Amino acid sequence: MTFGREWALWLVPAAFLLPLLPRLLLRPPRPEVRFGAMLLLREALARAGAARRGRPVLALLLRCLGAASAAFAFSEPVLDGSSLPFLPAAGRAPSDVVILLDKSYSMRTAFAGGDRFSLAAETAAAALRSLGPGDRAALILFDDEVRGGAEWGAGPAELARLALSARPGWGVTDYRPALEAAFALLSDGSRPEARKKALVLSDGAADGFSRMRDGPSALAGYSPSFALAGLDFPEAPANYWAAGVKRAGPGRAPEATVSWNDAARSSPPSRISLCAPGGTILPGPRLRRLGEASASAVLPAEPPRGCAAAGPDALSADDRSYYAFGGAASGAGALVLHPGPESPPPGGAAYFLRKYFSSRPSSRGTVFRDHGSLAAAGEGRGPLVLAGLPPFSPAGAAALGRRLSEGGTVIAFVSSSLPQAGELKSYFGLSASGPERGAFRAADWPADALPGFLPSAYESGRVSASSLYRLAPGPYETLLEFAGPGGEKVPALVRVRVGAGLAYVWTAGLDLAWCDLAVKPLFPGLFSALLEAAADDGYGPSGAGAAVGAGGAIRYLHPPPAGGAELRGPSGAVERLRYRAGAFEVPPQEEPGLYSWRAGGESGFYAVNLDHSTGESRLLRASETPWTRLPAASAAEAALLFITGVGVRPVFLLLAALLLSAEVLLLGRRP
Amino acid sequence: MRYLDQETASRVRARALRPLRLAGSGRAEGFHAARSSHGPGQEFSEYRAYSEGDPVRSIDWKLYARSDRYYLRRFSREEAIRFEILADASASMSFAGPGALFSKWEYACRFAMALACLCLFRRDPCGLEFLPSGPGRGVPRGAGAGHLARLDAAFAAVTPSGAWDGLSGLAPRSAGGKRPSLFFFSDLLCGRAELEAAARELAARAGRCFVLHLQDPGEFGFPWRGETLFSGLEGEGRETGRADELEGAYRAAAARRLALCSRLFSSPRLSYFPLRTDLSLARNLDGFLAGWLK
Repeated sequence: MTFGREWALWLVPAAFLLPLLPRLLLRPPRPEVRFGAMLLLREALARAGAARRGRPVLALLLRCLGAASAAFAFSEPVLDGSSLPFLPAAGRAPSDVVILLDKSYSMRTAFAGGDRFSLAAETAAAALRSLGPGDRAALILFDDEVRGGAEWGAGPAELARLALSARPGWGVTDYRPALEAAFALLSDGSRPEARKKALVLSDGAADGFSRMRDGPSALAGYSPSFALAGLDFPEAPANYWAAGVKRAGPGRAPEATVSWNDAARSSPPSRISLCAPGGTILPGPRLRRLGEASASAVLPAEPPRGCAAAGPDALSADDRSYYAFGGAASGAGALVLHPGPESPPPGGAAYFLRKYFSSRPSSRGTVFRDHGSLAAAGEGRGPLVLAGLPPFSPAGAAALGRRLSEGGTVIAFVSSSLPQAGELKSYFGLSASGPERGAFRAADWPADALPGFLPSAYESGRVSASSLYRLAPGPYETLLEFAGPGGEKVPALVRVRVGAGLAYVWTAGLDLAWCDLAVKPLFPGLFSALLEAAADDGYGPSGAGAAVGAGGAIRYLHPPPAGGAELRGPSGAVERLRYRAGAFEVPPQEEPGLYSWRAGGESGFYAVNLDHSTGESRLLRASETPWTRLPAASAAEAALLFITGVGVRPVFLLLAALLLSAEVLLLGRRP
Repeated sequence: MRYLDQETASRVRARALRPLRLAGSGRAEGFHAARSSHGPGQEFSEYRAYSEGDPVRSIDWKLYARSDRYYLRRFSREEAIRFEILADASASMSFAGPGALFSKWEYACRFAMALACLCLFRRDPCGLEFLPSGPGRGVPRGAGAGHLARLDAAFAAVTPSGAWDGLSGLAPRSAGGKRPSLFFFSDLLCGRAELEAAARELAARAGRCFVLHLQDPGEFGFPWRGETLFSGLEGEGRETGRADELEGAYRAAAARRLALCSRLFSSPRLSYFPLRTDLSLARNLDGFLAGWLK
């Protein structure tokens, strides 16, 4: 005989003794009567008989047996084939049992005072302990891939310990690799006489079947002789999750999206929560309904990192969405070089750029007078802004070339003071002619030319230029255009890849003599977008973050800091990052959260979030499963029944009811 | 006196002023005037025709003058009846259950003192003996002044103890003498054989015996509940049981015992009267006197 709740066997003697305790400990004082008519009393006792005198003892015995029987039923006893010879012989045959334990994050859903995974693990342990000496077992831990086990050899006790010590991860569900691993084990031909059974301890998530549309028979190693059974949890509880936080552009406030499943449709959340530094949850803004199952809320622009949270609910693991935008990186600023003089006169490119940085303390930029400083400033990691393209010294030209080849970003404004077609060709590979005089006006600047640059048609239509370099067609990307005197389109802002780097080239310069862009209201927005794009795409460090289980990179160009870089996780664990090809490689992270990185004097944040694209958070049950469904409410008993034999809990429950009824009847009769 | 209060004494004396006849005798001789005795006496009784040998001075000469026949005048003499009180002083008599006014012993003492008061008021001598008997425990028969107080003191000096040992310990009855009337107070808690022997002994020992059966409401109603330990007053040991479960069987046994006693102690010489100790003394006294002494 085996038991679904083996620990509950301790309750049997306790239940048996429980009715005795009040009688032993709380025995009422027995009054003593000095009696004269003992003759009559003895006559009455003789007539009452031994059976009547023993009635209280019999009633107490019935009560004890009833309580013990109920406790025994609670332990979910299962009669196996070896203890019942009249059971089918199959019940006594040796078995090969593979238990598949799902550790995807949907198993963290609350259930029966714990979570689904706890129930599954306890069921696995109970099933493993029920195996006999002739049986063989394997335990497969899986989510979207096999995470452990998948081999014979370990004893049931060891596997039970492994199941009980496991915790659910953050992955999504995919039954295909787990079932294939199980079938591979069961297909082992070393024990042909053994019954082949697979017990899938999972929540039957619908998304887990996306890669096995054709059913289990299409999987490698499948045999119809395999007996499959799995847990069947009740309908999905209400669940909300923060699907993500996005920002429309640099400087824009982030916007969080919250989604919910069908069960929560009747009561969607009205407000989102924010995670303040230190983990404190603060009430956030109200949500604006987007659709039937999603809503959004605009978050405060500062700080540019944190998390948005929905819930709490049955599955709190997916409530948070972490974010860290590029502005979070500190220590890297733009380097602006101009030919001089030290105080550039009004109207020149250097003048406007210095004015830009001086009026925006949040935009870090260093303005150097001399282009010759380029070689010395090679350690800088912000975008390089060139106000004019003079012929650099050989050392300066080499520094610029190295910067671009290693992934740096350069923003170049051509100058009107010197012919620069040669420099455009030599530095950026652009073939240009000019400068060409004429009346050029901005032509329909698109809103998505640069992230965060959203000019209105009125604003862009007022930018004009009187001279520019006309670029010949080439491997560049035109972001903005001018309309020439004849209506033809000529590039105004182009992006060209040079080596591993990028160059943004403005063909009309910033001198008022050539172009009035610098004095137009849209200039700060355009330049900010350029700097932001340069920081994200190019030379500056950035950590955009990644999904759980997916690796990422923090770009950080040559030379890496002497101390290397380290990444600190939400749990406080620190790991060193390996530098390769201009970036620190972030290995796949298994826990969502906000990670912080530090490299030299610079630091930033790196967000890791759950991948909601699989639909795991919807907690949707598959309508059809390839296995027999076992009720989760009596999972252990059902699993034992599946593996070993016949559950006899109802028999003992009935016996307990009969015993207690007999006691009531016995005491209810007057002597 | 400890066992006789003024109210009870007044009640029995008022009863004694009326001519009392022993039930069934039809005679009024003394208090209980059980039988008449012809001879010198205080009160004319009857005429009887003279026969040879009769004393001449008994002839009523006036009647001879009127009738010319010899008649003798006969006078009845008030003859005192001897009474004996026999009290069972075994330990079981000390029992007083729930609802009882007194213990059986105290009730018997009070009832016996009331009867003694009645007898002595009628100048009938009255004695007292206890069971089990012992030297110096009883009071010899008497009717003089202070005898009632001696009886009361004798009752007060006795504490019920010991077990019932029948009537064997009593002094042997006098051969040929008049047998006294007996008031026997007991709870009759002994075996059937002992009861039968007692009935025979009482019938032989007394001219007339009134068996007054002390009945405690606890002993016949069995009012206890739950697990109870019963220990015998006469050293019969202990018994344990659930009183509420035993109640039915016990009541049946008690009813059988009452029927047995009533049957054994009802005969021409024996009169049975139950004395319930939960009823007032006056009620039992009136019932006894009204039922048996008219």
